[in-house]
Amino acid sequence: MAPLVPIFSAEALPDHVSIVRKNFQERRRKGGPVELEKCKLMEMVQYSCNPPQDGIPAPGVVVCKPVVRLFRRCANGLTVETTAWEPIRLEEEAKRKAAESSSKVNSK
Amino acid sequence: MSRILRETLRRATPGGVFRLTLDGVGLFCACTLIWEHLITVQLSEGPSMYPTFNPRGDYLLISRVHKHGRGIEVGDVVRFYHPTFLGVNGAKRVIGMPGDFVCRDLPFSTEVGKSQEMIQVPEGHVYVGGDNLPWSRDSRNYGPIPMGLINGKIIARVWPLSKAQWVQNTMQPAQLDD
Repeated sequence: MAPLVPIFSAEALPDHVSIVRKNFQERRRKGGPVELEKCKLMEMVQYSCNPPQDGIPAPGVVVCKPVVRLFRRCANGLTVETTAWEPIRLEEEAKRKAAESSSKVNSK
Repeated sequence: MSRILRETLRRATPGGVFRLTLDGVGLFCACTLIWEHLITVQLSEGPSMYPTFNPRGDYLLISRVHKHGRGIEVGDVVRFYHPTFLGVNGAKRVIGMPGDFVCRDLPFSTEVGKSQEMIQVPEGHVYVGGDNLPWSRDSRNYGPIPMGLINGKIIARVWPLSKAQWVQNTMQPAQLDD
């Protein structure tokens, strides 16, 4: 079976991305830290068809809801799933922008 | 019918029988070699990869060149020895290669990234997931699978003929603006 791996929260993703784990040791990634915002955004569409939570559908009817997975593909071949992290990034950006605009208003 | 058989038996020489046997064994070896190391056709089963594959079963063309995860990328559909059922193959889409980061969801959940938990795929393992999330037993249940279990990459659907097509890698540049 697969070895046990530590679970971390999506908010800590940018910190974990710059670390490689080899032979159960943590090292800093070669070639400087990875900046997720600058990596290429990719998507993969999967589906949720007739989930059992919705009860038994009429015979012959299949209702599929698309589920999008987002990824960041970085130059060194690293692929990071950012489905959970992307909303956090947007929120942080909005917060930063709001802070900037408010500080501008204050300086005026 | 029996006359033909009798005549062939009368004409058969030890050398001829030997050559026929050798040809038969050679043909069998060649077929086995191709089947085990180049391409295989197998019937799929189950709803976990709907709508990519029919739950009632499709005949799939499998490239055995890609066994042990050779040349596999994120987004490919791979066939692997099932980690929890002996003698059964599974077919799922690769979501994370060794060293990649993936979202960890609850088994059979209908959404991705809701629990906000992430893991790094360990060395020599891949994280796989079915296309039909609530009906798929995949790495959400049994964790990342060792690359040694991978025994092929599914490259096409060959039967039914009306639906014959290459299996696409659905990983593509994002077309949404945020």
